[in-house]
Amino acid sequence: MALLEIDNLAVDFVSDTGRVRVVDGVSLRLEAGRTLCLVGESGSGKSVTALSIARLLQTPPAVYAGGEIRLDGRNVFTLNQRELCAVRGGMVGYVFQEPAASLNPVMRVGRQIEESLLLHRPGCDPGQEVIRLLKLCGIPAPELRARDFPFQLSGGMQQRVMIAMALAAQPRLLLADEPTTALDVTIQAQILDLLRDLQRQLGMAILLITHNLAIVDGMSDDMAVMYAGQIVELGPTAAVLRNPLHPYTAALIQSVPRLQVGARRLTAIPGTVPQPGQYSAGCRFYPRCPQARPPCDTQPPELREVAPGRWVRSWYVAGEESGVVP
Amino acid sequence: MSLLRVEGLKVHFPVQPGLFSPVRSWIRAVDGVDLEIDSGETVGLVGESGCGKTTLGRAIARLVEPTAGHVFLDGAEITGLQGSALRDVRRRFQMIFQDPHGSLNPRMTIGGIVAEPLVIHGLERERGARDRRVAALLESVGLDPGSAMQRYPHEFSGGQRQRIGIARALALEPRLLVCDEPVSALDVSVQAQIVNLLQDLQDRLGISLLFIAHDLAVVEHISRRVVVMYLGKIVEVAPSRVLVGSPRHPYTQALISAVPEINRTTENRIVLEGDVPSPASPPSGCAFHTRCPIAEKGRCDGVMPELRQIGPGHFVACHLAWDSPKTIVGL
Repeated sequence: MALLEIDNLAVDFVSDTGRVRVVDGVSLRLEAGRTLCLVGESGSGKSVTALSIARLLQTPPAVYAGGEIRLDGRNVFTLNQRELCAVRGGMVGYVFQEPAASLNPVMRVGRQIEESLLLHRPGCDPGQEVIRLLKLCGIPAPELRARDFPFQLSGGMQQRVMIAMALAAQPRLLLADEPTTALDVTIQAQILDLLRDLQRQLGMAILLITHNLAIVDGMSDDMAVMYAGQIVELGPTAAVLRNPLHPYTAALIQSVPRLQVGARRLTAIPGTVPQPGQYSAGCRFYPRCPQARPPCDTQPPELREVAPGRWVRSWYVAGEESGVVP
Repeated sequence: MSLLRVEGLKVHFPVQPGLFSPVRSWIRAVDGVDLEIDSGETVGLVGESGCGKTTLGRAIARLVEPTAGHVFLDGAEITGLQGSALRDVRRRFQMIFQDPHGSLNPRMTIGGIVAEPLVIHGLERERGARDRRVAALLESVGLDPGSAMQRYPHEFSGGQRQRIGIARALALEPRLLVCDEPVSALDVSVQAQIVNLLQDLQDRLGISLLFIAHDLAVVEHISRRVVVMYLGKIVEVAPSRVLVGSPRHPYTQALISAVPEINRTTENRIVLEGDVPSPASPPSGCAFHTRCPIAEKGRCDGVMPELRQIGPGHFVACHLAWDSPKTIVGL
């Protein structure tokens, strides 16, 4: 049994104009101590998937329309309010994209970390533990910083505080939703190193959500690529990045500009990411796909295992016709 | 002769605790920058947030007033111009902004947005001619004018909105486009479209670009030369291939090494400690010495290094880089 098991999750959003499905049949497994990256462009449903794990979406407008999420074997959708509280910030820690927006601006950061300790670890000495957590997250002079307000800290330091807060309850699963997107590259490198170190020390599982394919490499064991609410490719990170099988994954990797490559033009994916509810009848990537062919336009492909551990949702899989799938 | 020449440009912002209280200190956002851009050239400007790259771009476009220094366009000074003289010169440089949502008026149609510069400058006064012009502009950025002109910004995706912003900037046929993080708010797959579009437009129109971004890979791709800023000062300038291939300033090296890339090992990465110091009280000597892995005590923290030539078109402001290139940590 894996620590996190998502089976066929479906999430809808209801608005005046109707009901649209933003996450459609997502299934994932994450073992303790491993890292899974969820990659996708905006609107692909990756954040909604992550928020669903601790049922953090507001209902309505969100509706959990189907599927199951199990944490350590227990279905999240059947938990009562008290059990949910133990999961939120307890068993599952969250780190969000904008530390400045996630921290309470009128509360000293030490106090904010203490809140989680009082709730989830009533036995411990909160003062000491706050200092230990701040130190663990690489914050210099933690005794002084604990008394700072968020605005007194830089973006990188704020994100370290967020991580310290997420770790306060000794979570078994850390959900990091675009944790470095708001940060500069040099600070991004620091935070990613920190997450790797912490995982080595504490052995928790990490679900890392990002739009940046470049940080996936070296950060995760497995990766799932999402497009238009569905997983389109799933597999070991190194294999997927070096030999992408879905045309979307391949195109996405191609469109990332790289240092010292010297190509005159970037390979762009034509068109735009479709809005939820406006997907084409067949494969959702079909209108932008360089490999589109019948039956792509009429029949939606299923996610299938084309090689051991490699799952792809596409009628066309690179190398399949010639029988050279890895 | 260069199209744009910037000499000793400084932009300092006052720090005032209250509206009427005395100025406590000055934020030196841009602190003595010299820069030239040739006709038809693309110059990239990179640095971390707070390094002054956006302020520099805005000062060049006269959206903030420089505290000191000069900006010359086609050899004529544009700092200090006012009123109609400033409006005339603004026709020759336009700006593309980062946020495609915030930079388009939500209550104007796309046709109105792209026509606005023409109206302001009194060009194409005849309605039919103006519409034809707007249609041609939209077409040149890859939008279908028939369907786009009557619609509003919210009906377009981020990438399409950025195209509209580009069409608006091109309406006055500028010689220089100042692009401030034009792709950083866009999805990766769309980013490439906009970068390609800017390159195509430049090939066709021969305009110069000042491309400001924090993403070194994008900047290297599009620029002929790259300028690296740190705390309001230029620390290194070089042709883009040289800058990325053999950077000389330790800050540039750290910046390049921090860029995450597919298929690049993270083993011998230089991870800088700490944050960018406050531009209100920059460190003494070389502003980078507080984070520099190879700074020498008594030298780097005492004397500020000047920007000096070290190779063809390659300038660097670092004491240690001038001594011997071997002492710099390798990538």
